[in-house]
Amino acid sequence: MKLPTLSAPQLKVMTHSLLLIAAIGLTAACSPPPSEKVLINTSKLAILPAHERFSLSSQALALAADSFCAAPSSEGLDLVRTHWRTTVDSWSGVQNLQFGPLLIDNQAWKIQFWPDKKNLIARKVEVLIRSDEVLNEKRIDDASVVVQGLSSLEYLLFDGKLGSLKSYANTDTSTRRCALLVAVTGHLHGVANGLYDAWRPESGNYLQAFTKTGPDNPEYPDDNVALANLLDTLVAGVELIKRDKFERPLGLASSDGQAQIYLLEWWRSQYSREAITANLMALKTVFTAASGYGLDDYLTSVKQHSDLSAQIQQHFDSSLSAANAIPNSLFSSPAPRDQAELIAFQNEITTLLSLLKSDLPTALGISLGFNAKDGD
Amino acid sequence: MSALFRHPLALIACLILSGFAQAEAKPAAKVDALAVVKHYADLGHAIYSDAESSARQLQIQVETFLQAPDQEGLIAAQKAWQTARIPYQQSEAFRFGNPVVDDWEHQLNSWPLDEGLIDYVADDYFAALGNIGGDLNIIANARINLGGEIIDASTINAELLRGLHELGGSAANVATGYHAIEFLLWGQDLHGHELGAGERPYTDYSQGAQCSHGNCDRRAAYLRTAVSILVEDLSYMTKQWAPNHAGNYRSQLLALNKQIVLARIFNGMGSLSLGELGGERIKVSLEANSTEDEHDCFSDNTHWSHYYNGLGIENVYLGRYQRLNGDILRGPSLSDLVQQASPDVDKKTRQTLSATMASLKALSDTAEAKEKPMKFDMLIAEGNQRGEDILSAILKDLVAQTRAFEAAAAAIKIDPTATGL
Repeated sequence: MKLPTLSAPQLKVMTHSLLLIAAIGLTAACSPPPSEKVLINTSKLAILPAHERFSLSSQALALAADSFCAAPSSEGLDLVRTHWRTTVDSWSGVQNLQFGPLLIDNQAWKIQFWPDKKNLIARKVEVLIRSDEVLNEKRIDDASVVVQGLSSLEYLLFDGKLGSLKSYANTDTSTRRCALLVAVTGHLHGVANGLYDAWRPESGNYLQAFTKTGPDNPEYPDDNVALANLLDTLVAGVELIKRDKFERPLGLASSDGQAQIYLLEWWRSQYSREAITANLMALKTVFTAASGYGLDDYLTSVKQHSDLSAQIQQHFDSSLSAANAIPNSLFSSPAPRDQAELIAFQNEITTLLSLLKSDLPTALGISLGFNAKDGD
Repeated sequence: MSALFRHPLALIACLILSGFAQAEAKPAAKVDALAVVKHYADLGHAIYSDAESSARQLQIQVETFLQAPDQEGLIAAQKAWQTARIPYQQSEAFRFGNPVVDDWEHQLNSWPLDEGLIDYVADDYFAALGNIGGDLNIIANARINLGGEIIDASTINAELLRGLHELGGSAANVATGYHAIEFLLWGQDLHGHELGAGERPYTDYSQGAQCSHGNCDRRAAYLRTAVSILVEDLSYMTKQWAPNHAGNYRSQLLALNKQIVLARIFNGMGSLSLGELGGERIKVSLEANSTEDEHDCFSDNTHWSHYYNGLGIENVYLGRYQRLNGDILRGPSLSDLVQQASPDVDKKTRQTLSATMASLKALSDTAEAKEKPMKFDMLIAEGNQRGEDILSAILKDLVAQTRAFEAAAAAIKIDPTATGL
């Protein structure tokens, strides 16, 4: 086989090209393409830490419940309630994810049953306490989701009638009520830890599945499918806050709407507003990948939408400020329509949603998917 | 907004494939978006016409029953209600995405209800938390006291019932529609997770000494009124989809950009699949083991309601509908459009739809089995593994078909959320 003879200049050009190709190859190996960088940074700096916090706080909650039930006291109960609130905060950082382990076998339902229109929680919890069944984590796992997770614990810890210290001391059901409290907190920690494990590189490593996209990856054939999940998470999260956690329960969805206060998330503990702020902080962290290279940077550097990127961040911040400015718990708002702070928050969250739902998909060139809350 | 694609690989595949398809297909056989949109409106008209005519049949049976209440007449009315559900449940694929339907349907199919608003209930009945209407019992009370405000309910007519529907803004206050009528025909299902539906005695409608549970005249008036409201509402919707009706919804729809209408069609199929049927109607009751979240809880007709929801979605994709009289309507479909762009994506979508229908058939077969039937409320009982398997399979298929719709929409460059609303 005769090789074509090349002149010196031709050879020189070729060498340069080879060097250039090698250099590009090296750069690619050192630093992944921007879209992959978003996936890696968002999962490592936002999603994984959120799961870790949820697992740890649910563990602390379970330990506090154990101690309380060993010797029920008013301080002990306060401590369990405090850990319950911390766990709601950390759950609010995971709650809005629209993909991954959380969606497998309806894990979210084991953590939260809401809205509970017909007071099923109170009814099913009391039936279980008054039964003669063994109350352990296995029994809880087999039971209706209504008696599992943070919603059931909210009832046990905050119900106006039966969520007080006297229900845990000196009544015929106090031993079983405590046994249930311990079993449900233990079960919740199992669920939370299972989710964290499913993401961790050392364990289930969903992180790898989510960040290493490609033709061999059935769930994520390319980066855009994974990015679309982040987009869905942001939109579904803010939509849930606006519609289900705020406008509907407060009767602000239409001009003649009437408040349906028991539709509020966490009404029993009057923790609705705090959960909204925890959601917003977590969603902002998903957008920015905390301090890493997130969708915000991708919008700026790859999609040339630095204005939108800045706007979205500003409106996350102003929505948070507006939520923090609401003086009373949402549950005790007497006339929502007349409260300037509530209307101010409604305006902020509406703008934020519109940026995320209309402008962001266009800027990213990715369309929104259907979400599970699309029904009524 | 040149390209909003969620499934770029599918798109690339489809562009390549469509190149081949276009090279082979005869231009005359090509289906266009306008033809699909027109046929979609025709399907809507046929389905709502059937819903209306079957509601009129229900009205005839109810009237016959009320003239001379007996067990036979009650059963005939119940059967007519079940038949009326067949087209209506299929029509729900037209609900989401079409505001004319979505803004109206709560008058007809609102659920779950606090039936204590309407009539007598058992002692262990629970109303929704904070619902001021949950125990009003309209049938027993000619004067209704709403925290000081007195409502004259001495005459039960359409105006009264429409006014009390969603009283206090609560969706649980269902005074009208299919489920209010269902409750009036069957009564509460007091069997929990055991076999058996509501067992309202026909004597609840007997006038004179035979009347059970009191107020039989008012109960009869309520039933008659609720059925006539249903007929009136369905007649309105049939007209909205009728051809050659200036200013109706159909004419507005046909005047819209075709991309928007196709997005609405996809939106209707996807939202009913995932959020409504999969979420609200199956997942909630399954996960909570809650009979109160069962869709047709008084009549135990839930399996059929779910089956016909599924069929309605498949109908829309395939551009097909079998009318109550057996006639089959066929025409240019979304499936044709997607097939022209990507035979693979279309095939996959049709496969997911067939899989869902097979899973729904397993549900209805189980509920209708001659030997040991298991109704929906039994299947959702705690620890019923068979029920969990059957229902989880449906949920899984509904998720898969929703994802297939996203891919199908992308294949024809439609963003299903861009509905112009």
